[in-house]
Amino acid sequence: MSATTAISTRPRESLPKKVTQARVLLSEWTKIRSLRSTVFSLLAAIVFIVGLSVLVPSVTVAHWPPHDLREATAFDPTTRSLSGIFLAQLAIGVLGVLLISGEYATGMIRATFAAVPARLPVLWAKATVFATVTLALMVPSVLGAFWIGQSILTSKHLQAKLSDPGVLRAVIGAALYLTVVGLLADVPHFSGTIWPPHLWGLVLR
Amino acid sequence: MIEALGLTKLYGRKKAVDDLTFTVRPGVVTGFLGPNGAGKSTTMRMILGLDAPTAGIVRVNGKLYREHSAPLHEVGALLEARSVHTGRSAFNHLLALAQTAGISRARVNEVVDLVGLQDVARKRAGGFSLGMGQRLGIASALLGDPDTLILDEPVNGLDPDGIRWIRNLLKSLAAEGRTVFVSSHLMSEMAQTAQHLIVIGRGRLIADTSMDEFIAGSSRNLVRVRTTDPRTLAAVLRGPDASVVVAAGDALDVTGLSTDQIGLAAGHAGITLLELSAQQTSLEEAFMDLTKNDVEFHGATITDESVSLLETAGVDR
Repeated sequence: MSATTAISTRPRESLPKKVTQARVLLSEWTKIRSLRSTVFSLLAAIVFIVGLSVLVPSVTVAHWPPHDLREATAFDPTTRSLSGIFLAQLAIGVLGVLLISGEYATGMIRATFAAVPARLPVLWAKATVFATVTLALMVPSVLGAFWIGQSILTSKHLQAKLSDPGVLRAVIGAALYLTVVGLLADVPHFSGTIWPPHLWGLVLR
Repeated sequence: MIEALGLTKLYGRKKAVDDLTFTVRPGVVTGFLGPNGAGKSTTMRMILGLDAPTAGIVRVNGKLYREHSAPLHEVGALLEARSVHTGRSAFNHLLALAQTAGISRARVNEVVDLVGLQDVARKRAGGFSLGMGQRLGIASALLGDPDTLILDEPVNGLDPDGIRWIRNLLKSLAAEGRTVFVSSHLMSEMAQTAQHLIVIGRGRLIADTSMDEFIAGSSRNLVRVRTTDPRTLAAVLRGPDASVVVAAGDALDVTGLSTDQIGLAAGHAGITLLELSAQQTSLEEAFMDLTKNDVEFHGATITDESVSLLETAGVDR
């Protein structure tokens, strides 16, 4: 039986559109923005980053100068203002994991793969959307945290400037770091415990 | 159009699907029947490319599922297990699926209205009842206005109103020239919906036939006769092709003869008939007959022996 005879002669309402990487990206964007867990995880990360950029420098300023001189020489104003990234990475990592495992746990992945049988476009789209959203939120959060922290440290003349050597790199690096942490949790190869082992089989079949 | 050729799926050493060959044609509702564990869902997953066959192939609308550049426009599927993220609203779930194939928001709203979910479309799908979940699944199957629909247990959890709705929906979709392939364990439901049947048991094809032939072919088709003289009539009717069993009182159960033949025979013999009725086998009986050797999971039958065993073991009845 040839392929043409198998298709019924039913009239079409509109010309069918192909699945493209751009359409899958749009679909993944809809998915990520329509889940509360995404919004909460990202909000938590921002609260950690900005909150600790107030708290840690304030404590530093209140106890300055330190009794131990070594502490004073090792003092790094940039690091002080960005303490929040250590908590934020937990929130971002959880988000990265949820994006994939949530889809498997609920069975949504079957609908996803039925719509996009090639599968790999789904993986690229998820990673791209996640990285873009995370980076777009983390860069301003980290810059804001740096600015807040430095304004507090100014009262003891401890502040750093973005133009100081290595500072801009450290600030942008912090945002990149958070994004990569999330991606590692998101991408199966780096988190075999969270991605079911059979998944590579599914993707690479 | 769905064409399966030698479709086989092994899970370890167990054959979930064993050399299935069948064709599901457009224009009619085709029922997919089989006892629990017969391999219905596995077969449906293989049609959709969600499971890879161990051997054989299955084509939908002339191609392997994964070869379609716009699968949602070709095949709409409702899978038995829910395939919805519980945290997402029904509308956003459908929208995300629609966007992969460039389907418009207007069409999403259209299918939401079609399945009657307009009031809850913005609510999280996790809070949906089983019936609402089924409606959402059917909405996603219809998104791309596909030629072929594959529905695994679509009436599960639907109320009588919903069952009637889906029955009419499936019939009208088939009447439009679509291929409609529906699995169900509800025989009575299938009897009212499907015109063609594919029956499997333990992964093997048992029957691929029209609904009418399937029921007519069952060995249990019999005619109930009540008469004033059962003994004489039984003697008249008995023959090489006909068997007569005395049922209760003045009633006889005749197999192998039509009502016409019995009526004529009784007339010739001058016997008065009180009742002459064809006992149409239900789909359920025909199905039980056909699959009695192919049931994977039997419930234990309580016999006198097992009861006495329980008693000797000191168990109260």
